[in-house]
Order: sequence, then structure tokens, then C-alpha cells
Amino acid sequence: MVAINIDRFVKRYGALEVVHDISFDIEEGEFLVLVGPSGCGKSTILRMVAGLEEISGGELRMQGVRVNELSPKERQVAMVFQDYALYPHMSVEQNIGFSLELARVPNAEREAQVKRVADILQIGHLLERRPRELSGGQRQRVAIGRAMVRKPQLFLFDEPLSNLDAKLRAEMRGQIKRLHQTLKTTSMYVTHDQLEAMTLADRIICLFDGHIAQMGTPHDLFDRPANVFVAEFIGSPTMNIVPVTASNAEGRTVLTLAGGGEVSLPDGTALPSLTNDGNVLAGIRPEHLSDTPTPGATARIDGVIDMLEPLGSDILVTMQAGEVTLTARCTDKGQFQAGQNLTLHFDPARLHLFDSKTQMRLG
Amino acid sequence: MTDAASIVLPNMAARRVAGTVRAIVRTLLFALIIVWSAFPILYVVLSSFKQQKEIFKYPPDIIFTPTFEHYMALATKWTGFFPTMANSLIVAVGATLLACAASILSGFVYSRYANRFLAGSVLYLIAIRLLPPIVVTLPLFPVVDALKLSDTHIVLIVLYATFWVSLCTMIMKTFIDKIPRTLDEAAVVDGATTMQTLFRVIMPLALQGVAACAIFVFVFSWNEYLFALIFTTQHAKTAPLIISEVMDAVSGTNWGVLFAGVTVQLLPVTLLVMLAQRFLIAGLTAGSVKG
Amino acid sequence: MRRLNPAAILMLAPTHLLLLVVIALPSIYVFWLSLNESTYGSDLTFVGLDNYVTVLTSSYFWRAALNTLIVVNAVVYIELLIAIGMAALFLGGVRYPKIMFAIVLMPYAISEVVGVLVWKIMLNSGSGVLARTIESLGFGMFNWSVSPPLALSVVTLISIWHHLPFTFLLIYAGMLAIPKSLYEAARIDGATPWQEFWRITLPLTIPAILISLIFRFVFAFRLFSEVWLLTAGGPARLTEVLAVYLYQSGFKYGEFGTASATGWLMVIGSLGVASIYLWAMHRRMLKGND
Repeated sequence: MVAINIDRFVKRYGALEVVHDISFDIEEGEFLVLVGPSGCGKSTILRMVAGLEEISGGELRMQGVRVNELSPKERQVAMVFQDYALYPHMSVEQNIGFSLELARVPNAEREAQVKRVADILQIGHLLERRPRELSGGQRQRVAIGRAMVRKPQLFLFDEPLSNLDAKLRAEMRGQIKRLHQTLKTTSMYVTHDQLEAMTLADRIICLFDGHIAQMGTPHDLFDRPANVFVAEFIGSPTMNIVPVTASNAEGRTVLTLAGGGEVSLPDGTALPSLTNDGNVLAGIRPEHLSDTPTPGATARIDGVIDMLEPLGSDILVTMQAGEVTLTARCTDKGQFQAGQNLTLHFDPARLHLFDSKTQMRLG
Repeated sequence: MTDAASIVLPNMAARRVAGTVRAIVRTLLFALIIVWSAFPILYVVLSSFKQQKEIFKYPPDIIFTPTFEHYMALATKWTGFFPTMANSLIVAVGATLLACAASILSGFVYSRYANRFLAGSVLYLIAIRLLPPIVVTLPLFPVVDALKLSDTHIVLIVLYATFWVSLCTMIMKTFIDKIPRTLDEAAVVDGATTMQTLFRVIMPLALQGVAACAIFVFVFSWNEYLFALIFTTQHAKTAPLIISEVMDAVSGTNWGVLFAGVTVQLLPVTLLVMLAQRFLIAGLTAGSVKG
Repeated sequence: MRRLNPAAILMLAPTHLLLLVVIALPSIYVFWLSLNESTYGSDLTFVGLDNYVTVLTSSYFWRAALNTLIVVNAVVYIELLIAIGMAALFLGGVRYPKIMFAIVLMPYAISEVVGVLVWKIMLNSGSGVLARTIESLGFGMFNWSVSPPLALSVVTLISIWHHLPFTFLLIYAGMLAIPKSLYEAARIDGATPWQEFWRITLPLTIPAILISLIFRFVFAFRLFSEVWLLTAGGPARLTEVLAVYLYQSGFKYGEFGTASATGWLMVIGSLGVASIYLWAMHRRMLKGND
């Protein structure tokens, strides 16, 4: 059941249009993540849904009802801000209960609600403290509590984990995921971190420059990126994208890399129809490149090791093949040395091809 | 070649002497500043406790037996005094409340809203402070008379507040600017109206600005002379005015009582300024940045 | 940033209504008044620039203008020098800063009336404690009530006494804002404390100095109480300043027309002075900070 419709959203600042005709739905109880680099419009869209920015064009519908003109409170949305936006002069209890106070909920009821929420978030012992006495993670939980207590129709998260260090971020990610599993409130989450998007989302909308680059489940975006932007944005380390020329020679399909290096594909490898004189962009993820041949990894590429980055149990190997650089993620057995010759193997099925002019996926 | 040690030692001694001289000079200068600032006030305050005949003794006594007779006589020998003090209080409180209320509201708008008119009117707010107040007394005098507002508290309250409201708006704007806008947004999402956001979230965080404005207006209103001279005669006469009238008296001035009255008039505000200096300084720097 | 809506306009109303009704509109009306002959209570007769001519040909006006010019310049520059000196002194370190600032602020808290009263009494020839000290030191009678220059000097003194705290605070705040790392770099480069003051402190305090100059000029221009309460402009109107001249015209002689003309001349005068300094500041800002 569709809870929220974003129908042809447009945002203009004067003559400048920053969000171009964006449409998507959010299902009831779904955790939708908007992800993209700075300036892609994700925060703008979130704020339009919240009611903090005017909707220049298009319609926002909640439960089928148009709500463009309603205030945030009337839309029953709650928001967790990037800088937490906790009221510094109020205690944790007053912060969480502020919306109830404004709605003139009787004291006893309000206290009970605040306590309930604080217990779920495990901040019950902090109710009397001021925000400045709390750690980053605690403040974040108060901000979430403030949103939770209103039992909203829609949770909005505006890059809530950006201000936390890596370890805390991982912890809070888990908390948010668990919270969603318990409460099942429809949620829209904005972040620039693709890892957050992948781990938290039921569905991801990847945005670029005010347009939707791709919409789908995390698997969709990871396994079948619709264009080069999504291919490079999702997944870490970044997918290798190299320009190649495809040609048929002696019944084999050969992909020639710039500088003369070759990727041999086994006979009969089916490649989608190639346009553009055979100029394409080929993409392969570092995880899918291996230094050891495995069944199925029938394609090969040769080169010279340029740089090594140990990760602990794995190692990132950067290789020069002709004029092209490739990064592979391999198990670290101490077998590599810079300057060595190296052959990388991969399964051609793992190859992604993109039109080098339109940047769109082929096949 | 002279011995390295013999070069160092005399320099060190000379530097130490120079250092002590500097310290003495600085202490003297600070003492001078204290005397310059406080002596006139101390003179009046101390004299108010002296016996009538001792007040103008030369050289004046620093040690003397204090007497409260002038203070006791204030109410009886200077019948107009306490009523004018009450007027000063009413006018000062009224002007402060009016000016602060108006500038909190407008300072909030200037901080949180953007508009061509708004940006242009900032210049107007600054320019208006350049107008000599005495100039507006000419047209206002007959108007006030016609409205039967002459010699009322209202006249002074409105006049005093108006002359401060533009600076106070800028001070409040500066303080409110420092509050992140996401707090406004969180309040709106929580369901607050604009007024609720202003009074429940913004104002508690901008109290320093409010304090600065309040002190500026209160001190000004408590001490003001020109408008009080022109617009009040009897009923709403403020303390500075009655003090000036006694000053003009050629003979028969009861100096002891005068000094006692003056001490009573200056003491509250002087103490206020001394204790609240923090807010004053904050307000000054905020106002000058914008002004 | 939000766009203006009716609620916001309502919130602007108290401030702007006050300003409009009490200052803006009356100022325009004063200009109209200045073009008319009017005495209090009678009807207006349009006389064009006659009032301005009357004022500008009055020797009393020019006397007042000259006195104002002298006093204003004396007040502004002497006060500035003292304030800069004080600020430099404080910059070197203050013991018990709270107490020192409290004492420095005291004159600000005192009414002009009380200030004039006290200084008048202390400087009263023959009886005042300061006057008698001066006279006993062999400087002759300190009779400012018959000597206009002496009287205007006392006026200058009182005005400086009242306003020094604010000027000092403004300049001190400006000096405080200079990053300590600049002084440390200078010390490494071998600068003496004197050089540090001249080459770092002063140049970087110029914005604050200009601001307080502008304010002080504009406010000194309006000088009234100190003169009125000390000499009432006498003897023989020799110690009048522009504001006193205006007051006499309007409220003593009842000539609202000429008083209004004086008023607008004062406005032009103070705006003129302010704009010279504002232009200097503007030029400096355009040149960029060094």
C-alpha cells in the first residue's frame, strides 16, 4: 500500500531549477533511502516533503491526499536533523516532550510517553541532562526520541550520522535498523554515504544533479547499475570503469583497452549489440577480479602491479594494463610485490557494459 | 673581545629595573583612571554624609563622622524629590519594556526573513539614528499638547523607546543570527507557531541580547534630560529635571539634601551598570558590528 | 530564510510604527516647518528659504556653529586619544578586570544633569574643591562663568568624562580581536613593544577607531545638556552650541520656523561629517584588509 506519493517534484530558486521532475512512491512501512553526492538535491527533496521548503512544482500526497499546503505538523511528519537541532536550554525530557507540550497533552500523559520512548532508546537515565552534557551518540538518540514520541506517519532523516565518527556511525546504523524493524514506521532517509544506503534501505533512490539516476533495491543497484554514475557511486572500493573497443577477431570477441592491453573473452561470449563504433565503457568490481583462476573466471587481463593497499585479511592491488589502471580486491597471502607482472581473472558475466556517450547500461 | 657573561649581566639588571619602572608606571596610570572615573561620584556620595558646614571645607576631610540627617530630611525638605523618582522609575521601566518588546519582534524578523524591503530598511534604521533628537521636539511639541499627552508618562515612554528601538533591533538581530536555523525548523516540525518558536526557543537563547538592550534603554531613560525638560512640567517630571532646577537656584540651596538626593538618584543605575557590565559589553560589540 | 508573510509584517509593526510616527514623519514635517514662518499657536505662512537666510545671517548662529565645531573636534579627538591610551594600557594586562571595568563604566551610568552638577560644584570658583586646588597652585581665578573659552573647556571635559567609557570599550574590543599569533610573529622578528603597538595594534584597530569616530562625532554634534546646565549659553549667548541655539529659537523665542531651519542645518551638518568618515571606511574596505 502506497503511503507517500512524490509526484513530479520541481524545486526552483528564482530562475535556477535544482530538482527536475522527480517522481517516486514510498510504501507503507518502507525504509527508503535517498543517496547521492552533495548538491544532488536529496536534502531539498526531503525538506519539501517535510514542509520546510516550498514545493515549486508537482504534488505531494499522503494516503492519497494532497498535502502541499499543510504545515509539517499537519502532515504528521517527524524529522531527525543532521546537527540534531536539540534545544540547548531544555532538558532531554523537555526536548523529547516539546511537541506534546505544544499540542497541550496533559502532563502525566506526556511524561509517560517520553519515558516510554527514552526506555526504548536506552536514554532513560539522561532525562534531566542538558544536550551539552551528552555525547554525540546520546544526542542523536534524543533527536530520534523527539521524532518517535509523536508517532508520526513518516520519519524523515537528514544525514543524521554525518557528524559521528566511524565506529559510532556503525553502532547507530544498527540502532536505526533495529528501531525500524520494531516500529515499522514509513521512513525516508537521506545520506551521501553509500554504505549507509546499502545497509539500511529497503529501496534506494540514487540521485544525481536533481535527477533520479536509479531506483531499486540495494541488490538492484549493486548487481545491475543502470548507468556509470550509479556503478561508480555504489560499492566500495569503486567499480573499475575503463574505456574499451570491442571487436570481433577470428570468432572471438576481444576488448581492447586504451594503450593496447587486451581482455580476452572466451569464444562465444555473448555481448550486447555494440553501437558507437564499438566504443564502450566496461566495468568490473574489484571484488570480482582475482589473481587465481577459478572455474567460471574465464576472462583474463594482464598487467604490472603499481600499488598495494593492505586491508588486513584482504589487499587492494592496483595494476597498470596499458594505459589503464585497475584495482582488484584479493586475499592477502603476502604474494604481491610492486612491479610484478600479474594476470587477473574474472567471470565475464560480472562485466558491466555502458555506452560511452550516454553513460547508460548496455544489456 | 668582551666576555659573553659580562654582556649578559648588565642587560639583565637593566631590564629588571625597566620592568619594575614599567610596572609602577602602569599601576599609577590605572590609579589615575580610577580617580578620574570615580572621584566625582565619590565626592557627591561622601559629601551627602557630611554635616552641612563640612561639605565645602577646603581642603576637604577624608575622614569624618558620617551623618544620615540629609537622607532623613529628603522627604520633608525636598518634597518634590521622591515623586519625581517614582516618575523616573515608571518611565524607565515602561520605555524598557516597550523598546525590548518591539525590538525582540523586529530583530527576529530581520534575522529569520529575507526580502528586498528588509535589506533596504536596515540602512534606514541606521540612518535614523543619525538624526539629532532635538529636531523632532519642534513638531512633536504641539502635537503632544493637542493630544493632551503633555506632561504624562506615556510621552516620555514612547519617545525614549523610539530612539532606542532601531539600535536594539540590530542588537537582537545579531544575537538571534547566532542561533542555528535548524532549531527553528525543529520547532516548526514539532508543531510550533512562529510566536511559539520565538518565545519558547529563540528568546531563551538570546537573553544576553535582551539584557543588553534593557540596560541601554533603562540607563538612558533614568538619566535623560532634554525630553523631560521639554515635555514634562509637573506631573510626570523626572528626577534629572528636578535636580537641574535645584542647581539653578541662586541661593539657599540645601547642599546636604541635594547631595543625598543625587546619591539616591545615581546609586541604583550605577550599581546596575557595574554589576551587569558583561551584557553591556556584549551589546556594545554586537551593536557596533552592525551599526 | 523565509519570505515575508503577514505575521512577520505584524511583528515589524511596533518598531516601524514608532519610528515612523515619532521620528520619520516629524522630521519631514520639520522640513516643511522650516519653509514657513510660524510661531507657536499661530498659522503657518510659507516663506520659502527665508528662515534659512535668517539663520545663516545670524551672528548668534555662526557663534553657535563655531563653538559646536570647536567643542566637537576637541571632544572627539581628545577622547579618542585617551581611549586609545587606556585601551593600550588594558591590553597589557589588567588585574581585577571586573572591578576595573565596573569603575571605568561609572560615568556612563551618571545622568548628564548629575555630571554637570558635580563638576560644576567641584570647579566652582572659590568654593569647589578642584577650583580651589587650581587656584591655590597659582593659576589665578578659575572663573569659567565669565570666560567662554574656559566654560567651553569645562563642557568638553564633562562630555569626555561621560562618553569615554563607551569609546574606550569599542576600541578595546577592537584591539582584543587582534590574534595573538601576530604579536608572537612580531616578537620573533625582533619587534619592541612600542613597535608592536605602532605596526600591529594601531593599524588593525583602525576600523574600530573609525566606527567610534563616526558615532562620537554624530553624538557630540547634538551637545545640549552640558552647555545648557552649565552656562545656559551665556554670558551674552557666547557659549551657545547649535542645539542650544535651536532650543532658544524654538522654545524661548517661539520661532518654530527658524528653529526648524536650524534643525535641518544640523542634520545636514552631522550627516555631512558622518558621510566623510563613512566614505573613508568604505574606501578602506574596498582596498581590502592588509
